[in-house]
Amino acid sequence: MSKIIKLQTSDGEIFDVDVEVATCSGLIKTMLEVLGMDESDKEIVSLPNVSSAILKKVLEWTKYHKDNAPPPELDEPTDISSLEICSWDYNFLKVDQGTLFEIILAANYLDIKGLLVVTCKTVANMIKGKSPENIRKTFNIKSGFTPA
Amino acid sequence: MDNLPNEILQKIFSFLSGPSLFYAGMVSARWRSIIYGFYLKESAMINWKAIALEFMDPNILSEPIQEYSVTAFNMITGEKEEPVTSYDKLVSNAIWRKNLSSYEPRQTSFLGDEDIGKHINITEISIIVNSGDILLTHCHDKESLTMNTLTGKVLKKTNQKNITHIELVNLYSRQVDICGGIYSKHDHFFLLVRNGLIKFMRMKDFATIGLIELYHGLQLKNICYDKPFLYVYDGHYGVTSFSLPSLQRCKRESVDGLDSFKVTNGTLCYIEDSGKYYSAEKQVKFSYTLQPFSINMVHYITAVCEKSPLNLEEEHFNSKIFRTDCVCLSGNRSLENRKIKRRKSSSEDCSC
Repeated sequence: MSKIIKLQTSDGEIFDVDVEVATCSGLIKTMLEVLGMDESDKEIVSLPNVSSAILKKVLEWTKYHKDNAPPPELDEPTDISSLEICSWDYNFLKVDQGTLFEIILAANYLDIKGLLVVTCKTVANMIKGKSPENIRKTFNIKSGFTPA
Repeated sequence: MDNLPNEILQKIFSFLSGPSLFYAGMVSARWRSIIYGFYLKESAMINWKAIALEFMDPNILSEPIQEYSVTAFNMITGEKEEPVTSYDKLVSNAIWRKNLSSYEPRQTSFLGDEDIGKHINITEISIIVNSGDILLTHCHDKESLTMNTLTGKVLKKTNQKNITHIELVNLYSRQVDICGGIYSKHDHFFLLVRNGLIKFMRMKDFATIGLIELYHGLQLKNICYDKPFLYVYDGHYGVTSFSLPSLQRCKRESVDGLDSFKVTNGTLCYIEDSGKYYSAEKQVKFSYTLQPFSINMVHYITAVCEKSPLNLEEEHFNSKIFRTDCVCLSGNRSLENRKIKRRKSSSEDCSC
């Protein structure tokens, strides 16, 4: 039977997570190595930079990619054809921008390289092919910029 | 978006190709500083690249290093020497790569002298192959560039999906050059491997000349051309040879545990982690040792030799395999202070 560890999010929610899934995170893996597995059974690993909603998403992603072989490339051209993102990830990341950025920050914090790459690629696809003005509109960015 | 730290933005920008990257640089002062800071101003700090060196002394390792100065190294002793070619020519022949922050290395292609400073095409190059005066790159954004190795001029730009291997093939021919007398001019063909399909294409117009369709699901590992045969290595049957240009299947050779291979003069050669090249009969052909220095970021080194081009990838470099008759480049600046030595095996045979 696989071991379970407890992860506590910034809003206090505690998740029981399979160790194999949790150790997809470089941060948690390091923590467990430092703590030792026996001790980690009793300890709660605190993740102060990740909310419960985002951790749910992150765990969903890690579970899927742990259980499934890397998905095939998209065959037909789509709006993301230039940067290969598997269809599952593409659908998984159909979220509002705020959530997407929070997932990126969580992936960076938790050191989940695969998730970081796919989320950054998703944002890159949102930038690609757009004019500077359209990019500003897309991300609600103020120019703050004086051309040289 | 404003809450994302610079390191994340760098990562995002690393997935953008040239035009999009430049547009992104016009979005805000912050984005501009990140993009220009890490891509353009640091261009002088590009720390590695590969160069097609057809026109250089094959005994010389040369590389443009910091501030675009040119340093040449003797391939045998590692001593500095005067460069044998101009800086301009070096730059025009260069395929540059650079390391983006702490993330995966990306490669930057500078397309010729006159383009430098005006247009820098920043793409992630996944394949580099060269053959004489033709240098062909394939990028992650599906763009394939055919360039003149001497001038760096882009001869052809195409979009081809899902290319995993390219092998350039010189088939024929000779023709008269009115201005310069008679010289050899080859038609270049290349092969694209994608999803179990090998396309045989004519370079000048990218017309498909022939197809080899492998069984669905076959694990296609590598292709190699050794005149007049094309060798295809798949995980099921082993190495299969096809005659060119008919593409007729000739023979199959099952192999066991072959990670990488080259076929030279009809002999199948293994490459092993130990740093040795073996013939199919497990006789050591040659081994080469580059005395240890750290080049962790190198993924491709393109070399040109008289007989055929050779592409060395990271694992080859790490396993210290080189050919005796090729020019290999490493752009790592730490190389500057290192000695490069070569070690001949007892049965070194340069015929491979």
